[in-house]
Amino acid sequence: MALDIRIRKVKVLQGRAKDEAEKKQLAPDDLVLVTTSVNSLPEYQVEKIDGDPVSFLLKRSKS
Amino acid sequence: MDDTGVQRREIILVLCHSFFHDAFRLQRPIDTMKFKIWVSSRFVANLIIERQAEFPEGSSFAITSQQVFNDFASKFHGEKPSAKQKETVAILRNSICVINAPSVIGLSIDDSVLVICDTLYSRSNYTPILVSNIPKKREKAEEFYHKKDPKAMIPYPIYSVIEAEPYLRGRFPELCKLVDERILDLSTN
Repeated sequence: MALDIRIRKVKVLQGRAKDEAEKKQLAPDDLVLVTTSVNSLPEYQVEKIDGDPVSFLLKRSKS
Repeated sequence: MDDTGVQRREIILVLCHSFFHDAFRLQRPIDTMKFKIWVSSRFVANLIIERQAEFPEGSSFAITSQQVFNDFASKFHGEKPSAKQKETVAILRNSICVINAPSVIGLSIDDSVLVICDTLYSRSNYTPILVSNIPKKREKAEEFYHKKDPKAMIPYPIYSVIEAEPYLRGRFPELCKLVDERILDLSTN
């Protein structure tokens, strides 16, 4: 299964990725980590980034 | 395109290895100057991620060479990276355009970013800004240009992060306000 993980802003998401963000009631300017797993049809996992993205990444790398 | 039919050049930040090391430094520096560089580097890195997050995929606000990025990655996570460290580097790589073209891949980390700057300046609608925290970067760039022509001028700006920060604040005020709010949000929670 191919995996892609990148930081996007909620307001640029479309389709099922946007639906995932809406389920979590995220604001248009929220930053999210979008994990795309591709088996046949891509699946999108959306995780909100709290605070600034550099601190988020550094904290995540230590977890 | 403006009224005269001239296409407006977008800015693109060309990142040197010193920028990555300062922005992703784990410990807050004690030395005053190093602390200022760390704060500005963090700010610029956050701005890059913030702006890239709303760019169409395939467009880039920041660029570097494969050798610069690999140098950073290997120092960041060491020889035996954890899965989370590898993932962090992959996420960062997706916020920055990393060039591994044959014309760049064999060059030193210094020359690779200078070649990227010159290529962007000469054959695209980007205005490159070389961002480096190494004080001798301008001299290195001059040496690089003077090898071919002793009278050649560096055609693009070279900024330290401390110089780049106010420039970027003037250029992207709304986005910078958002970056400040996110940094403040984290420090107050």
